[in-house]
Amino acid sequence: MNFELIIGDELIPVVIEKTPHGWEIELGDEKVAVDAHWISENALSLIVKGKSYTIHVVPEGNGYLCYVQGELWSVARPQQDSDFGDEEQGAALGDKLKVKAPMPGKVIKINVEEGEAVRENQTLAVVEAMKMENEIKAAIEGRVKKILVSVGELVDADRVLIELEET
Amino acid sequence: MFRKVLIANRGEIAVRIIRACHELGVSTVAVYSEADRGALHVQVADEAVFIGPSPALESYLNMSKIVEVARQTGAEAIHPGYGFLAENPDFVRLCEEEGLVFIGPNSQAMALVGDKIRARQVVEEVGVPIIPGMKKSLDTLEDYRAAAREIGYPVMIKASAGGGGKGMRIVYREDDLLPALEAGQREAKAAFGDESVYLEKYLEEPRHVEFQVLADQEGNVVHLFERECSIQRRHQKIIEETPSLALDNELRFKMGEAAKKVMEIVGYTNAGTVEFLLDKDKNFYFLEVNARLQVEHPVTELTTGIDLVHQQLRIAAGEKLGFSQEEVSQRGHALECRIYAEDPANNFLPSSGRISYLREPVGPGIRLDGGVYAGFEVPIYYDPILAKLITWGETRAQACARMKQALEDYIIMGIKTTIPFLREVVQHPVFLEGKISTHFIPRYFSEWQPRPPSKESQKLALIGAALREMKEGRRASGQVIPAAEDSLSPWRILGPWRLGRRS
Repeated sequence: MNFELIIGDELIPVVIEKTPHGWEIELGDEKVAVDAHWISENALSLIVKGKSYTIHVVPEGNGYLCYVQGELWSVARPQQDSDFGDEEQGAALGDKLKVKAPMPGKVIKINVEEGEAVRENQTLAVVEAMKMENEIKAAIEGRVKKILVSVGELVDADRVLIELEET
Repeated sequence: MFRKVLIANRGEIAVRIIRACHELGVSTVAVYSEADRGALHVQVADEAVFIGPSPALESYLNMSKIVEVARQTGAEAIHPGYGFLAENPDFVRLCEEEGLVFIGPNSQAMALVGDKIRARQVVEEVGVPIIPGMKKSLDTLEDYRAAAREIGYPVMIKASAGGGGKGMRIVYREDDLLPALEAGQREAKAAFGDESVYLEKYLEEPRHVEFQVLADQEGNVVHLFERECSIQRRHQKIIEETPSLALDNELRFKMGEAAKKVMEIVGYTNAGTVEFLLDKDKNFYFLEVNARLQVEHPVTELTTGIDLVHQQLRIAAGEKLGFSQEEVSQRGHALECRIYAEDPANNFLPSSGRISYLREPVGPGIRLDGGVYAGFEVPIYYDPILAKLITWGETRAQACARMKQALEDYIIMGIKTTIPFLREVVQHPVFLEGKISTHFIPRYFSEWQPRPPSKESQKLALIGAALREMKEGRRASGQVIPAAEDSLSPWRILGPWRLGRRS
């Protein structure tokens, strides 16, 4: 069976064949014979060239999280019509003008007013989570266009707190 | 011994105290806020009572509500854990007035050590050295400015009402004093309900060494040796150990005696900790008394064989200490890593959310004090501590080796944790040599980023995901299966998918 996988930006063709003692998995130019045994719903024991590995593979969103050798990898199936490229390009200016909460928390201070000019790195607001204060800074020089939250408000991660405009 | 104890806390420490109670045949009452209905401490307790909305001020800090619950459930004593009400003299007094036993120091001792400025005066009078600092609390910014000038920069701003790094700021220049004071006061207010702060001289390159003390109600006081807590980030301890490599037997004896003297002069009862700073020339200075069970208490337990929570319960119930100073000894070395819900790759931002997968390490010399489980939703409202991982070894090197392995075997998915960061700290050559100070983390780990992923682990992750996908036999969206092919074979329905970014 042939299919393709994307690792980072790399597209890697994969071929998997059943063998008497496990599987033969071709990853790009490399051929790996593995003896695989599921030891629980989410944990896979793998023997490759006599070396033993345990891989934890847990469904997460549209794919899996894999923990192996102390490293955590995110694996996703491609979504139809999804376009990662656009998302990343659009991030340039638009995202810098939208000042977002980096994590869920409570707005405890707003340091600016609408119409105010701000410097890059200026603290615009303070969001508290787990009893620690986190200063939310401007990624770009500009002017405060709109303040979308008020002090005391609970916000989710990525909630836009303040909109800036270019000056 | 008590029949029933209420635990006025949450998370790993509530779970640990509840277990100790059960071991002594004491039944337990947990309290919980709206955010904590699903919390582990609620599950392990015999009884659980809802006490209010999620913000701590309306639940875990609501003194009258907690006392009311104790009365309703017939609890005779309240264990406050650490944080929240643990060092609040008003709460201790309220318990005493209501005829409830507060498992901790008596109210006079609590009031005295809780007032850090007065405590230092008292301690200085009996000849224990203190760090230069403010002798009284101040009203105006002008007063603070003058005090800072007198002490000399850099100065440290500290919350009068508590520890744990909350409200703490180092100020190097006068220009930075006002904003740092404001921020410190806000944090102190949010954490302890009291915004007062004080200043003291900031020592360069100090080690943080503290002594665990037990004092019964008959005036017997013993110490259970030191803990070194120099590995700190943002003034928050992250790795603690005992014994400290900085102490020889002579210094250990001197500091231990000083610690006992401090507790005697303040009339302390129950378990408490005397914190010292040790400078490069091995001069020690009294810092403060932590009038509570501390987060890092397990390293003392693993090396002395004494269960500190059992001792707390026994002392509070009026029992006499069952051992003398001469009968206490330490064996081996113990390390503790605090596991926080913070993203070490992203400036340690708090990371709340659902834990989707959890595998905790086990093995010889490994202890895990945890407060979470797979499926638990970590709330935004409280301290980000999830668990503590403690290892014991005959030597420090063995304890470190066990810690390294245990951290690698510790899997938490769904939220970010400090595990990857800690794993590198415990393997750092300077840490392994033991040449540590409170500047260790800022010096060697301030710009920390995860190591580039290894090709091998990427390949293994890929194999794991491929085999899982096959096991699930899941149809990828939009995959067209040619009619001619065998549609029942998992290979026929395995669509293209991508191995994404490292999370």
